[in-house]
Amino acid sequence: MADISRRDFLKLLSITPMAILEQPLVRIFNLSANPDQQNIILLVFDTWSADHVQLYGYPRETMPNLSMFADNALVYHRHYSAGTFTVPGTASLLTGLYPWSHRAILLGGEITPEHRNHQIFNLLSPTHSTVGYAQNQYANIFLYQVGQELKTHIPIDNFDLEHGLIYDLPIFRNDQPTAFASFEDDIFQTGVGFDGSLFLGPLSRLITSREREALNNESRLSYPRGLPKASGLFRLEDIIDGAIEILKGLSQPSLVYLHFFPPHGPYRPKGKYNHRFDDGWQAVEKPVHALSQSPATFKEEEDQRRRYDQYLASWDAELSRLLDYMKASGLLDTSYVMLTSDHGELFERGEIGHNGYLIYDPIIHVPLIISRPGQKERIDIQTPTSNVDILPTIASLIGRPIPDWAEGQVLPEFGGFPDQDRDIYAMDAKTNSAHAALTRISISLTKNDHRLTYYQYPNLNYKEFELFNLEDDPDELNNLYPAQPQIAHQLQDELLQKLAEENRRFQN
Amino acid sequence: MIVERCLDRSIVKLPPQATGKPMESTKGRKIMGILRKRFPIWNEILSVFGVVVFTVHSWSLREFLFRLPSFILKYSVSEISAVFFYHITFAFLESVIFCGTLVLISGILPSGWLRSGFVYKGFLFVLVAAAAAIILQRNFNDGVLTIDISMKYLFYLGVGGGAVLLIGLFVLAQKMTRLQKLIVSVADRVSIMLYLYIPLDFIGLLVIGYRLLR
Repeated sequence: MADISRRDFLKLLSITPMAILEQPLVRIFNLSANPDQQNIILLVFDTWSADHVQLYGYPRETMPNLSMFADNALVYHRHYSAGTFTVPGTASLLTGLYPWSHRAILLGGEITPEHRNHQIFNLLSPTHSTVGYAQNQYANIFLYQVGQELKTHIPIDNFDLEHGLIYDLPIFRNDQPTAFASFEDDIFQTGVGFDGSLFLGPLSRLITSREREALNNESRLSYPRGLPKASGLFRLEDIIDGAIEILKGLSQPSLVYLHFFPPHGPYRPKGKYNHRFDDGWQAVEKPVHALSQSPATFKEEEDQRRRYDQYLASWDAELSRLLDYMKASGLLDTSYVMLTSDHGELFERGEIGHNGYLIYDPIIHVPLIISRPGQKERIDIQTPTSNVDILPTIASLIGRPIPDWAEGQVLPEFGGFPDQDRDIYAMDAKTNSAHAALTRISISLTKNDHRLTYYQYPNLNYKEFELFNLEDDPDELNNLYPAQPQIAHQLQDELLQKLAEENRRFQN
Repeated sequence: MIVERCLDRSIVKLPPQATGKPMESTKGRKIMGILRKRFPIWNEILSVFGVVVFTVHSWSLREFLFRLPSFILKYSVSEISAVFFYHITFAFLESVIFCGTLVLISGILPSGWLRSGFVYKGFLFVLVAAAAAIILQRNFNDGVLTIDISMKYLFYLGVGGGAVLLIGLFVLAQKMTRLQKLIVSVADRVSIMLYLYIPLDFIGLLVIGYRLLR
């Protein structure tokens, strides 16, 4: 110490600010240099159809804040889910596998043991801290299937106004999927039907019903149509606040999967949005499909469509707070932020929702918007992509080889080849056994501008092909199957061959 | 003999020694005396427990079998077995809670109301409660009543109507010894199912315990 002169001391003092800034600067520079050190934030909005977002050409301005976010992001215009409802759609997103491989094809179904450890969390757990939250109970089951490699599993009802899902109690932590199968909609029924518990079941329903009545009355001013409901009642603002809290406490690098229930029905926007889109605009009326179970009228479809749009607008207003937070906190500079959905929603051909057999664009065409760290321009991608591409893309982002079991490709702009000719499949097999060949199935093959859909339901004595040109006929009104046999048979052969190939494993 | 013991005490007087072993200490005797005075005898409780177990387990199994085809489509055999044992174990817990509540109520109420003739009264109570529960279950959808009635009126109707029906049945059975005997003998026969359900419950507790603690 005696050797340090006053001059040396002042020199040292002058570089003190640099020493203070050293850690953050090194972090920022390292992050820019090493993509595997950046966060990956995957925001999934359940039942979000791209066909209801103006960014994708919808005439109603349902999500203006999303459009602003997309100004600095990659917008995938032809992105499709591999499933038509939460179970297959989410499983495909998380595993990079088509439903014929992950076999989560039925309501409450699970990912087959062979692929249980093939989720994005397992892939990233060696390098990233993993955080998962799913407000949809069917998606939440997949998070339980990950096991220890999902470091932080946020309880499903964490941001809800109601709590107390039995299978989510700590006592069942080692057996959640089976406890879920036993208690939810079984021993305790929440939908139509009888409870497995004779006395406690209806008692629980009475108590829940009273609680909900009280909660709805309390929130009548903000939510005149009642509070939004997932497994319990919740407020849109609470789940956004919750998401912000999760992101605030993030350790870098992290993989964050947040699966929000909105805009899944019931469509209950805030009061301010209840009369939005009373504009007289109507979608094209489409003929009722033969597979439509209890066909809704066109008026009912349009009423529900408007409610869905209002709910989307209400959700977008809340979402803007989350997007603003990510921008203000610098997370957008250090993270890949992906916004997408597990499946869409139908308001046509007699169908409302996503519980039927039909496959048309609104039910499989979902948004995919990705913001790269520090991105300052919008890039539109017209190449067809699938939600099975998310996992390979994430693998490629962190410098991992694409797992050999993955069925998707790396997305364009992330090193993937923009392949216009690729085959994109989507399917629904909710009445087929998960342990058997797919024989009761709706399956579509989208290739170039065409989509061939095959409906095979021997139990309903229904077997039909439909072919549409998505470029010339985006409303899928003109079935070209009889008129264009060449394209029809080419796609048909390809689809049937693929189906036969995937079914082969069950032949023995 | 069981039939006679289980009839209304106002009709058939029971010898006090038939209700259990005498306690050694004075304090113990005092407690046993209070319990005997306030609560039904063990055999009666067991008979009613048999009826509750039969009703609750049968309903639970009915629901399990109703859902079995969908379980077969999506779950493995081991998962389906686990779901079965969850059903059985929960049914056991529900039976204990229901029967325990009934015994507790009989101890709180004046003895003539429920304790004397506990078997036939308990049987009728289970019958009415089960019917009410099934009607209620039928009319709920997604946490909302499908019948056009407010929760307040449903409560009045359910509790009030159920109580009136129950009191009516109690009075009827009290006046008709034959009906009492018939109910008690049915309860006695139904109790035989305890030999099937209780061992299953025991296995269920072991299986679920293992699954939760592994």
